[in-house]
Amino acid sequence: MRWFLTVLGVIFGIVVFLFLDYTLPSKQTVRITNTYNRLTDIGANAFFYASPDTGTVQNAQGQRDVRFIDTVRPNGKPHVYRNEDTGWIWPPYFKYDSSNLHAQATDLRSTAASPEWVSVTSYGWRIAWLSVYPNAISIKPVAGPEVKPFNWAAQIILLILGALLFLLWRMWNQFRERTIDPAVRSADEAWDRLDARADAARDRARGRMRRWWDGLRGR
Amino acid sequence: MIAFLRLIGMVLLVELVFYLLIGTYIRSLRREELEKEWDRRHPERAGLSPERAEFVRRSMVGFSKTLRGRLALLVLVLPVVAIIVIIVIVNYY
Repeated sequence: MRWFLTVLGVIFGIVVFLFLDYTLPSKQTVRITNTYNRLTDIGANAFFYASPDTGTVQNAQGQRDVRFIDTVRPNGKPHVYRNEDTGWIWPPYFKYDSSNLHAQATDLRSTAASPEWVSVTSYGWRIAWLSVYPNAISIKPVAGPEVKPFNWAAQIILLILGALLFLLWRMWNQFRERTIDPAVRSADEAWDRLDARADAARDRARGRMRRWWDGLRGR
Repeated sequence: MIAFLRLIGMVLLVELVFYLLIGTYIRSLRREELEKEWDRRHPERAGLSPERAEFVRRSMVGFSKTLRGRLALLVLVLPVVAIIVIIVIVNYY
């Protein structure tokens, strides 16, 4: 039983970590090489795209015209972002300026010969075999490939989540101390009283039986 | 538009749940404080008693009007402020 709970706890921890890793914003310093939109098949990977009611038009074949931003990282490896509105509920970025972001990204395109480095804030993962792309949120020019701005947003959100967890823990403790524990104690006392009465009744009954039995045997 | 209304509805729902929880929590803290206050003032009559319950009940009258009683209202305001700040940063900054 103990090992089962341990496994369950570890799985829960991994799920929480993956969830935060996917939803929290991350920053990367890259160089934009191209921006375009492309008819994209949305199938089993629909979970990693914006929900259909955010203004993205989807045709009868389940394809959407999605904006993409091609970039190259300082180590030379490519990194592709999608650029989609997020809609109003989840993830709570409330992004509806995809067109503006695309214009800005197009403006900041550069070649390997004269690179122009930018810091892209995004959320999500790049999973090549599922055609999953991180969603770009904002773009800021930086001085060079070694400049890596601190990710304030994610730290602040984590701090707030931690404070919320602490508050919930304190609230639960207060509830247990003032509501559950007294209820358990009074139930225990009631049970003890009931128990004592049952014991007394049993003793009385046994005494009567014993007397009857003894009388029968002529003692 | 439907999505926006859904957002308002869900935020309102979560806020109300937290408002009730935090309101109960703050009142519970205050009540515990008052019980300890009574025990300190009357060491010979400390512990559960009808007098102490009456003292706590009378002291809690008007608590929701105090600054601390209104603290839970922040739960209705802060998430909306946070959402507006996120919208401004993401779309207009």
